[in-house]
Amino acid sequence: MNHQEVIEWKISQLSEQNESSVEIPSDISAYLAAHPDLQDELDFIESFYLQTPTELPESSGTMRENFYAMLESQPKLYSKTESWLSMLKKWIAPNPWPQFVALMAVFFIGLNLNDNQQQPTAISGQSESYLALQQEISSLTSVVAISMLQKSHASERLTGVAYSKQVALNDPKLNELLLDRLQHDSSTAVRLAIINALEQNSDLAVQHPTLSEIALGETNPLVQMALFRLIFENASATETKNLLEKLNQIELNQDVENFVEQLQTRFKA
Amino acid sequence: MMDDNALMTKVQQGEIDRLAILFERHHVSLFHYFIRTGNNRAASEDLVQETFVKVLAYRSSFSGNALFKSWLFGIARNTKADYYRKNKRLNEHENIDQADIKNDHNLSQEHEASWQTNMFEKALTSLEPEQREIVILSRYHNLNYEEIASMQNCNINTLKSRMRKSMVDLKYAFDRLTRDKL
Repeated sequence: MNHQEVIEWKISQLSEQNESSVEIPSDISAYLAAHPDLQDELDFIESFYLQTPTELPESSGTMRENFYAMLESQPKLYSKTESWLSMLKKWIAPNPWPQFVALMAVFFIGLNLNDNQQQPTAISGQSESYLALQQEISSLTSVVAISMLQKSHASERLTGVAYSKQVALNDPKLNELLLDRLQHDSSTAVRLAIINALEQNSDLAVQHPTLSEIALGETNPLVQMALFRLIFENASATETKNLLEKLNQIELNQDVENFVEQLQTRFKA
Repeated sequence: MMDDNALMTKVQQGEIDRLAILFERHHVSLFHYFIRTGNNRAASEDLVQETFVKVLAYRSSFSGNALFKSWLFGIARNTKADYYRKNKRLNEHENIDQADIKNDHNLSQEHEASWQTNMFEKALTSLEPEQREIVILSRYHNLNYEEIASMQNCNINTLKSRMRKSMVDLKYAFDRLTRDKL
């Protein structure tokens, strides 16, 4: 017997909170008698374990909503059905930011169109100003997206991903940031949302080599599966063949391997 | 009522919806674990979410030999480590000087028990992250030595030694704080 074992016994007894187990076993009692210095430590441990903990803050409802959105999307990850869009909508719905920006954009467009109509300008002039206005909004949204993608809270970064979809990913800086987040973001939800955003990018083909590299080096099975699905669904036959060759050279998580087999079967069919 | 291990086995077998029951049973405890180990509320919520994403992603690795709770906290611990590895600019653990000082009341204004609790929790913030985690898992989440040792990838004797050192350091910090305040 030693001090550590007596402390283990004490903690175990306190954790069980069993009033009937307060009787000290004879060997421990003898050890305590031989080492009176230990009693002070045990008294401290007892008072620490028996104190009522302070109340901690409660989690927000968003956490529960995010969990159920994630759960709902799970079976759909294995099918081609687009599910992340609805999930993102659910996540973003309680956030006032997108609502505010959408309202501002509508107000801004309405105000400018109204001004244009009041001025006797040519139709071509109106189109040009309308295009310029659209570009301005797109640029503004891009700035907001970049800013949100750099926030520390995952729900804010998800909002950033939603904004990035509005600007059609034609901003190279935004695109670069999204690819960086795709590789390094701490939240799986954010990374999956980025994959969804990339799927809507008309220039996706340009990014296939980069995405293939990311997918091959990915360690998170969910992200890896989503990336493989994205690539298989959008890449050319040659690109798919190249990817499959590389896949044969690496060891995959069992779930991912099964998923890739399913994808292959589907695309062969 | 189905126990946690049985539920997790169902999740492994493809009944993904059963994870909702496990989430309802454990998300508050996990959230408090992240708060107590020095994360703010927003980060703690993200970490709970991320932990359950990983539970789903790595469901096949649940063997059923250990309690689901200790397996879950093991994943939570790794999730926290990943989070701080990816966000290096963040400081995982506040030290005692940075901790939120909520103890501005004097003894006459506050009941002695709650004052003591406050001192315990402040003393806890002064421990090294690893020590703090051991104490938190034992005291607030009722994990036993074996379960904590398994989470920390150490043998039981090492854990016993770390626990004693943690309690000695905690007592020292507590004594110092209470002496300063009295």
